[in-house]
Amino acid sequence: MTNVHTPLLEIRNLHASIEEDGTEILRGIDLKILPGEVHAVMGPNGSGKSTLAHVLSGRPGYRVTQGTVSFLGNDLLAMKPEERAREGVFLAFQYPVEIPGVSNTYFLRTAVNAVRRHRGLAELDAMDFLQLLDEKAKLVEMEEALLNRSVNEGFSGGEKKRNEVLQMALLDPRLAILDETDSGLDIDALRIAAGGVNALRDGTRGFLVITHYQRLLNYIVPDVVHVLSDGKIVKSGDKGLALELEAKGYGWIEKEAAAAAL
Amino acid sequence: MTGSAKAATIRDGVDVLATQAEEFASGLAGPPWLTKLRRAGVASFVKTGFPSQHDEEWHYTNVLPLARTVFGLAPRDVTIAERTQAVELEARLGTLGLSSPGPRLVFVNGHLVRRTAHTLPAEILFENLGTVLRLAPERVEKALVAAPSAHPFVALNDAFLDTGALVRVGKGLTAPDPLVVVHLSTSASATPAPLMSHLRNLVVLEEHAAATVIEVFLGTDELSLTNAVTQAVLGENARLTHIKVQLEGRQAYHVGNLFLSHARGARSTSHVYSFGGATVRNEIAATLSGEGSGTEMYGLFAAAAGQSVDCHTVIDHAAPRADSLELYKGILDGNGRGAFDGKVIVREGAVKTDARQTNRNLILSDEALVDSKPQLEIHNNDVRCTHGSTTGRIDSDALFYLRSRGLSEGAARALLTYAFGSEVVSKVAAPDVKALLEDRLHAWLPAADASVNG
Repeated sequence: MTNVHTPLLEIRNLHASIEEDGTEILRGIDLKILPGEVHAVMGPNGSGKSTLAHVLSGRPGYRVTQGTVSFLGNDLLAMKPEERAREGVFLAFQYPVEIPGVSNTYFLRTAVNAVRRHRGLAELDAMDFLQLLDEKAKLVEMEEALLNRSVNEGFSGGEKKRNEVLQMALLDPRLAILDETDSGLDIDALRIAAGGVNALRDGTRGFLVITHYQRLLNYIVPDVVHVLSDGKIVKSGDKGLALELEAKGYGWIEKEAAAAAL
Repeated sequence: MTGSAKAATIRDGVDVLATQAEEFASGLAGPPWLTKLRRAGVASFVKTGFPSQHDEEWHYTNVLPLARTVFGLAPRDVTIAERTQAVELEARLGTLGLSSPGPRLVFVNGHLVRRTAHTLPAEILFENLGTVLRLAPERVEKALVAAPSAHPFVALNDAFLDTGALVRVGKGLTAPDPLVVVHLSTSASATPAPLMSHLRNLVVLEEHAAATVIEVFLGTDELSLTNAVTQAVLGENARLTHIKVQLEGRQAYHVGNLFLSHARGARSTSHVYSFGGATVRNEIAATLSGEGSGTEMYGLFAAAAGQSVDCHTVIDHAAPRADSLELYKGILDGNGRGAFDGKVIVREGAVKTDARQTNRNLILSDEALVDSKPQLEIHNNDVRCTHGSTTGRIDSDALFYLRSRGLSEGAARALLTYAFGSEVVSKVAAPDVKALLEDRLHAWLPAADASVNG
């Protein structure tokens, strides 16, 4: 069904509002990610970056009012969050959730087996899983103690983000969405998290990297950079665009967009 | 099932029970103090009658259907059918993981049917209280007459006092294995009426003695009433772990009262796990009358459709430097009802008291309801007391987080509910009981059929 020319993700004219009060956040997004590509979405606060990540992952609380999203040719928006995950969409959370009483290892194995079952693979027993976990944990320099604790409970900011990348590595997604993975991280934590992501770049997996700052893109080098402003992509370019934004701020882009709209 | 006789009014219900108790007592021999105790129980019960929901302490417990049902006592001669059912019920415990080969007493409808062979030192007594009342009543007189209670169900328990488990651990000794008491309610008695049993367990730990006592309640799905009282008397520096696991059937009424008294330096840990029954009330009254004594109370109650579970605890700090720690959690589903009513009293002289109380409840459906009533009553300033109560639903962020990792909504809810309860279960030290409880928690969960991995 798919080949290298089928986009991993194709977003067309996506409009989405907050369900509770009807405020429109996304106002016509178009975006296409081919296998192996890394796309960065940058933008000022309130531009709709995180909403885009939430809508793509199926988080409740939003209503899509127009447009389509296809993932490997299938209607992504018709799928439940868990179906998206099993089909191969992974969201690395900006604020990973603490779940007291559920051991990280148990949670990871449950998730891995839910995805494997969907893909027609045999479930991993405890021994096989621990072997896999051991291998992937090295990727993000995750200590064993954190694997035995409750999910994210008492983890530092950096440990939580590394746990996200670990989950990504275990679930082996086709498309990974990173929602401000750099927020709240010092440079060492950022380096480790980015290293984990880079290890997963294999020429077929796609990435959508959402960030406010250019800094992360020094570590995860994008093929395409998009600038989001007021719920629309107002400019796209190569990695040079990110550097330009870093130097000049978002103001000039917004002015340019406003001028174009006149 | 067969229809059961109804008392026309609650007053009639009280009179029926009083008559039953008098008849019961008149058929029993025994020393004068015992006869007096039973009679006083009848008199007290007749005086107070069944509590009504107007009574603040009973606001959340509807005893009306119970009060109007005429229950009968199972005849002393246990039938073959009862024994067969008891064996089947008890086998469930093995399936659930409680297979410890240690000392065990098994009661069916209030009558001892089985005891495992065990060799305990002579100073550790683990016996049928009924046997002791017949052969050597003087050994338990002091403890039994010490605590008259105005509680109607405790008075009723006095009135029918004749059976239960007696644990007595001599000075400085530690019972090597948990002492397990299994109470089974079955419908296979020769009596056509629904059955009631009034169980009295007595635990006496002498100074520096230690024991773990596990009480398990199981039953078939017919109408029944279990009215259990456990009195635990802890001598100086004694240690008691008391675990109650309530897994009775769908139509069971269960009223349980646990009394804990602590001499200087004595420490108790109480666990209450309540998953079964229709109308259930678990009460604990702990008195910390010895300096430096302490109690920890852990409770997990679950009420699904058609179930009502009330937990009432009173911790009475009556001596200096005593501490108490309480953690109760409730899980409510369907139209289940629950209540936590926890009172901590700190008396005037109880300086340097350290009391912490927490109640958390998880509501899984729109129809479920829980009342939380933590109460502190402090009569001196030199104390550290905290209490907190929260009631909420499954956290939507956590739910989405799990779903975004491929877990179905049902599996995610089940896992989060399990996690909520497991905090309490994790406090149980006995591994086989912990396994049993985890299993029960899984089995109880709304999406258990889809399995946590589903």
